[in-house]
Amino acid sequence: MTAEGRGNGRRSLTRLGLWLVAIASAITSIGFLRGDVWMYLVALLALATVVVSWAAVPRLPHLESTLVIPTYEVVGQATPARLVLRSPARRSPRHRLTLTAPGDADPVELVIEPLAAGETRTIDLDLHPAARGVFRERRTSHWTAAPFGLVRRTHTDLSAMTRAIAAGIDDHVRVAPGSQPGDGESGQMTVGRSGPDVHALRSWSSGDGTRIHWRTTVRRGSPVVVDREAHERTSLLVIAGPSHPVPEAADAVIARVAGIASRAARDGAEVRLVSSRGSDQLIASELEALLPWTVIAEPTSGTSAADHAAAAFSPGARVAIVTSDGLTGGAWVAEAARFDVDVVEVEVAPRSSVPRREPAVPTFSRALAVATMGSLGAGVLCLTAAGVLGSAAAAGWLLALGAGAGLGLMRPATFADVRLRTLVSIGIIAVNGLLAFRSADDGDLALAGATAVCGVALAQLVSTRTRRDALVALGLGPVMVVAAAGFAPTPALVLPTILTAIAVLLGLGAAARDSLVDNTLPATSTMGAHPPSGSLLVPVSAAVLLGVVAYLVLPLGSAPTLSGSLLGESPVSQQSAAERAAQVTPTYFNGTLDLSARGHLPETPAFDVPAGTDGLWRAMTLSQVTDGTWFSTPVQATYTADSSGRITLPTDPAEDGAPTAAARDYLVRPIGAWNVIAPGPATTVRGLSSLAQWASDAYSLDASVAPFTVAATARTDVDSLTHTGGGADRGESEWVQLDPSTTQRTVDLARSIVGTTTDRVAVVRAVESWLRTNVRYQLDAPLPPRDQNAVDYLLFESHAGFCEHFAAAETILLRSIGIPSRMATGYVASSRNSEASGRITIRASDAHAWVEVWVPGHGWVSSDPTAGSALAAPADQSLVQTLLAGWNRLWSSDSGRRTLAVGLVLLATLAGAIAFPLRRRRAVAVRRDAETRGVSLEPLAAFARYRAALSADGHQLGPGDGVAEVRRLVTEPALITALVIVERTLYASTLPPGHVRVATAELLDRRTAALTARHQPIPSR
Amino acid sequence: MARGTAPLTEGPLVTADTLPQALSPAAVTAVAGRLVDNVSEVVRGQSGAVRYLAAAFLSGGHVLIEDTPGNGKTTLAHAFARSVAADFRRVQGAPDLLPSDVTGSSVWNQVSQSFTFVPGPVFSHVLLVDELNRTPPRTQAAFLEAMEEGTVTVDGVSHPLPSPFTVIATQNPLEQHGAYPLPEGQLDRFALRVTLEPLSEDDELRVIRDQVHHATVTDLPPVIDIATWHASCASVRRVYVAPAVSAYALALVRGTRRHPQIAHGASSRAAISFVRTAQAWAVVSGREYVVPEDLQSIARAALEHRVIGAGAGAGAAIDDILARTPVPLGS
Repeated sequence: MTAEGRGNGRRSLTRLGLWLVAIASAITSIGFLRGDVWMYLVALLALATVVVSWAAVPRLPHLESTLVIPTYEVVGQATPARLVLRSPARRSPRHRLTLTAPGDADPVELVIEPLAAGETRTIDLDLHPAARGVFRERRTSHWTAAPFGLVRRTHTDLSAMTRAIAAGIDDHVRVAPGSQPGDGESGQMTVGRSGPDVHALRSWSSGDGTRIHWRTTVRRGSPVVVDREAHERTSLLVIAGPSHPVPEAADAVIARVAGIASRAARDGAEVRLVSSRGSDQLIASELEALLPWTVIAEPTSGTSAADHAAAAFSPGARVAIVTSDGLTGGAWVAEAARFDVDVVEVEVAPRSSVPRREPAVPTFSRALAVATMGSLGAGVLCLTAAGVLGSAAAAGWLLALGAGAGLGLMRPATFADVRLRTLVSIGIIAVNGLLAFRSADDGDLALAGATAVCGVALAQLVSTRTRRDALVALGLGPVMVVAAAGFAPTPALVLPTILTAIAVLLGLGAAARDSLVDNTLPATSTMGAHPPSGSLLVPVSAAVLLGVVAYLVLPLGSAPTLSGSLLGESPVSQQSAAERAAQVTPTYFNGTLDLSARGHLPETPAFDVPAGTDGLWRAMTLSQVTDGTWFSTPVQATYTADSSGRITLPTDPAEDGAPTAAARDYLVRPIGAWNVIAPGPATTVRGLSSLAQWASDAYSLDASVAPFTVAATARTDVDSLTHTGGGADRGESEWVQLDPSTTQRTVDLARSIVGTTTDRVAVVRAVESWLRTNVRYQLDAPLPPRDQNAVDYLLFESHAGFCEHFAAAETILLRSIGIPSRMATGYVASSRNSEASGRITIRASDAHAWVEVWVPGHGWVSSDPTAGSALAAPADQSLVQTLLAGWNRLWSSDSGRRTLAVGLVLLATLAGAIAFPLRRRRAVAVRRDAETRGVSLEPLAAFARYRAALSADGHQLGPGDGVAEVRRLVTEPALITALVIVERTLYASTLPPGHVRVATAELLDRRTAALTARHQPIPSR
Repeated sequence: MARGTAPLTEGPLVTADTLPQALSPAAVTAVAGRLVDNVSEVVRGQSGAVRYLAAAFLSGGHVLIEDTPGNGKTTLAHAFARSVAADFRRVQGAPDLLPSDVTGSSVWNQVSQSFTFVPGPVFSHVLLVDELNRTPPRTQAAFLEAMEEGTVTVDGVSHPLPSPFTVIATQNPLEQHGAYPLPEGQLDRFALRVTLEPLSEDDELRVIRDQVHHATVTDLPPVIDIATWHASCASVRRVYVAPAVSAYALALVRGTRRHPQIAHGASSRAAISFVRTAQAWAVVSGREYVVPEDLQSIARAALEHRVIGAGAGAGAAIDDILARTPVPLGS
């Protein structure tokens, strides 16, 4: 297995792992979704982004490496000859060099000490005169930045390969003993015992059968076949215009071409070397010296395949055309078609085989970097919203994202050193591993998983150098979303999910734009060559706007119950699934009431009751309280049913001592809820055969759901009383029991509210009125922290709550000054909901909680502190609270959401109307700025240098010859693209983006350097 | 005078009131491509001339095709006119052609007891004037107003011409006998003067075979409608010309005024028309901005007929100017 193969394996493994994480998260989330349409949408969105980002990943160049080629040249024919060593790129490693001269001389063995980057060293050698020429030691070291900050180093000895091939042809150079036969970069050549064995690989086409080269096929992602048989039948081998896509690949090209040629020559083919325009002079001359073949044409400029084709081809021959850059080759294959010859194409240096220099600056734009950070940031927000990460941890992560990743991505110079990046990545992973391990130790697997995911994401982001790396990091955002949805499907996820989707879409757009400067893309049409900046932004923003508007306009009521609020907190931190499931069902009627939970109440009808019975319909009472949870009185006596279908309920001992009043019959029709409700204590129920009793005064329908008639005495409201009557008080501890966690300041507050008032009615009304004035009604009021008493939190911190909170607060306040009271839950019937039939519909959203207070002389009377507590904020409320309350009101009502949607659309329209002309103006302004102030634009200076180099190379360029003339001189697609960008920079109405200009300038400067290098003599010292 | 006094076409006339939206540059390139492809169906081996004509069409300029007889001048002009589903008229130049034959005249209407204007062939979108130099100077002057102003004045009343309005004129430079050489003022009104390339043997053989076996110019289907043409013209006017490129165009035009081989250089109107045609050329070449090479490509066709040469011919002088004038390269 080659080093390349190992790297691929690791990458595949990484990708497989990511896929597993994504699938597992999706399954988990679906398991938890419980049919909520919004959560399905969230999950779908997340999955879609994962799929899209993954689909984009394999198309990107995947190998980044650094190549170190110390070049050795033996200069001069005299003895001693001089060996010139140069290390062009980086510090070369210490290694051994063996030079074997032909004939009788002993091999010369040298140990080369490390050379610093760019260092030149000369060694005088006592060599046989026949050993003159150019030796190249071909040893490469690769530093490969793999995803997730993994870095690996591979070592390939290309010289051994070259020598092995050369040995088969000529005896000039022998394979040094002890050197390991290397494997070709692309795995297409193996050096075996019987000499070089060359496979010609090409893309599969129909009719090729099963000669598929699987390893290359897997690597490339498209079928590739081995063409050995066809190759062996070749009678003529034409090596056309050997050149190399990047200078570093020259050795690989020479090795491959020499190998193929020697093989073909051995098989009886006539070998012809065509060094035409476009071929690399160094490679051509080295090949000429290496092999005994027919050289068709001397390299001249201005010639093309057509000029040499007649000399190169014999009609009817079977020709293998060996190409190294795909470009000159294309011309030759086209020419061959005219000469009626069968053509076998052999690609020498496929793209994947080209080792790439690690980019000094990231090969992606800042837009992609920002989008990637946005995606991960939104992912962390999702995890926080789902309650997996604490807010402190989340803040830490966001800070780290900003600092570490921002530094790495935005200031590439800081992280230019691969070792520093490796160190940082390892550090991050180690710290996170430790944290995850500790969390797992505590049994908190969710936190462990989240920590691990965040750590991996951060490490990946810090070590990101290439577009592909950035895209992998970008894809981790959606993974976090899916994971978060799996932990807790709360509506709080919606906003961060939308943010993630936006970031991912923008990131993919940025990546697509970056790829336009990829050297492999031939862009000859100028119309499409320039990335239409912002053209992606418009559809993406429109799609996002549409999504948000749809989310706002669709009615809330269609979604089943869920806890949590959009911007709200995490109600589910550190809870089991069972606890969570219990919470999402309404907590009103099952015997307990937890103030730290909350149910969303749909508009579905629950009952209908006779007209004229506006007011409170009681379902049960709760008198015991512990840690914010209220309990009803357990069953003490059961009901009796007689044969006539009349159920007599047991007398509630709590009612002892209350003045008796005549009971009335009420016909109740249950529609969506199955409780027995009555306007006061019920005595009998008719129309039902049996009931389920689960508290002393709470019943629900049992066997059948049918209308029933309940006889009950309606409760009096405290607001209708003027003073306390004469009568006994109820002093049992049951009615004055305080929550053990009740704070002293609550008791003090109760005393201060009451003051010197003694009359019970007045006291109750004082407390009621205090609550109505000082506490704001808010359906999605903040929940109390776990370690704080709910009433205390309401009275002194949040100042906001809904009916349960109001009722609980009043009960506790009254009890703390010794007034017997209890909570009652049920529904409010309102004549606003009356129907034409004369009945009132009670909906699930009419569920309510209030207080029953014992008033001597009147018995239990109801007191509803919620009624009349205005939604309006108290005068002393802060601006933020007012705004939040306003936002919540808007958000929680359908009409408010519609208003928001309309506002959003208007805002977007306005923004578009302003931004569009602004953008045009800005683009024109930049252009004008560049023109008037003579701002130096990167590609222009580089183009001037390139043009000068072309002139020096012998091309006649007059003052009237501009960019287009230079374009006619070049054939390389990347260079043509670069020239189009130069042209745009000069003459188009908008400048190409900055990173495109920089990339263009770099490419031009590389080609300028290559041109100039041809004319520089080899330095002798 | 009210607009659109005389609706000539059966369909609704496109006037300035119904100016369509400009097309995108890519769409105009596609339009030009369709036009070129269609014309090339019947005009073989004249890719250069066809492209020039397409550019002139899209910039709203007029074209003078100059060549010896029998080389396809009229076919080329005819093919272009047919490729547009627009009102097309043809005038055969002759020494006895009167201005009123071109512009139309007022005739007495017995019913309304008034003069009614009967428009002449110039009221069309595409006007093909064959053998323009055979018409007498007075008639040539009538064309002059129509081409420059887009209006025709008869009996003191101006009648607007349909828009767009393009004149394709042909003339034979050889036979000057019985011809009235065009005055410089009128030559200046042609955006481009196109000469045909000599056909290769293959192309000529194809022409003969086509004529025998295939469709001729009269069977050519229209490929763009008038709204598209109009929108394309509007779009071409928006093609970006960088200030440096405008300056380069001016440098070329001013170069003609200084050049020793040119007795009289090109006018300012020539410079404007030069840049405008370059805009169209850029779009035909698939670009939404003008580059100096666009100007270089059309320089001879756009400038040569507008200068009066001295000595070795104006064409060589313009080539010399092109070689000497530095292309703006930003540094």
